[in-house]
Amino acid sequence: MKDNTTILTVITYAILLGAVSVLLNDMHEFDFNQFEKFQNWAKTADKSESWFTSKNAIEWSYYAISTGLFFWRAYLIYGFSYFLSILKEVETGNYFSDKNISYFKKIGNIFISYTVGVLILRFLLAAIGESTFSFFNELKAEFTFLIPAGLAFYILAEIFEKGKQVEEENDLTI
Amino acid sequence: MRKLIILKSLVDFVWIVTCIPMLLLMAFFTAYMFIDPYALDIVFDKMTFSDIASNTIKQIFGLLYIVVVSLSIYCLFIFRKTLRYFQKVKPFHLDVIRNFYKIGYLLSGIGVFGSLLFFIARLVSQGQFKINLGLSPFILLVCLGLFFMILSEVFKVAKQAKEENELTV
Repeated sequence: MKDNTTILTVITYAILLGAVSVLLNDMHEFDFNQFEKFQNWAKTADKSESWFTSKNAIEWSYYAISTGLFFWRAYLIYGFSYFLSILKEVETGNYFSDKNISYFKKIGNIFISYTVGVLILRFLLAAIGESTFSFFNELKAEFTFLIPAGLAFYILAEIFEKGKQVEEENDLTI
Repeated sequence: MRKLIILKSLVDFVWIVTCIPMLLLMAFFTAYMFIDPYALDIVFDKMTFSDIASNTIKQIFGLLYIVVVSLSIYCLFIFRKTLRYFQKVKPFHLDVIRNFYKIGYLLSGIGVFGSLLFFIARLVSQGQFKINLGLSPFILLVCLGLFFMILSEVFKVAKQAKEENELTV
């Protein structure tokens, strides 16, 4: 088991590192595009024009929603980082510790809240006309994996709680 | 328990709507790709196979691809079976431990074999030596497989503790 745990820890570190770098790169690219847009706007902007126009409102909502999407992605990566804590506990032999139970619950929470959050933000993004929204496509992309995985982690937390009770009873008997 | 019912319903939904029709389609496709090799272009895009790749190579890789997909469906089938034990409140049953180990073993195998398959496909058909170090579904499959194997070992410990407990009582 120790071998499997070590391999999984190394792969999880690699995945987390990859995911963080992809996220940072996407954020930088988004920021750069916005800056370019701003520069183009500044060249032709009319200072006497009111800043509160429907076009500006849409632009700002697009910016806010995109920031929200980045936040959810970062939150999902944070959720994945709990796997490292679980693996550390398993490696030390504390299989059914309270920490593991709470980590499983947290991962379940993060997976489900990410899916719901991203679905709502993508719907809003489509509503302001910046992208298209097809419920079935979103269903294919997010729901098929993350919702069942989130539920499975909740169930694992419950099973680990049961394992903890068994272990405690066993220790008391001895 | 309510979460378990939702999960079981979701897995059943995916099984009935996706897996059963896919098994039938794959059985049909296994025969059809030898009648009309151009049908393989539906499965393999131009990134994997160039136009110059021979039909025999495509057919061999097509067969291997079908094996990989069938094994993935089998994993879901075992997982579905395991959920029944959870519903019967027998999470530390020997079959659960065996099933988890089997799922882990198969998923890790699929991950390694799948990435090798695509690597060789690129090498053979396009002459490209390309290793993907980024996030790929195959790496995630290997991770999931290892996680299931660790879970199986942890459940084994819990089973032993439970048995000892019952013997003492």
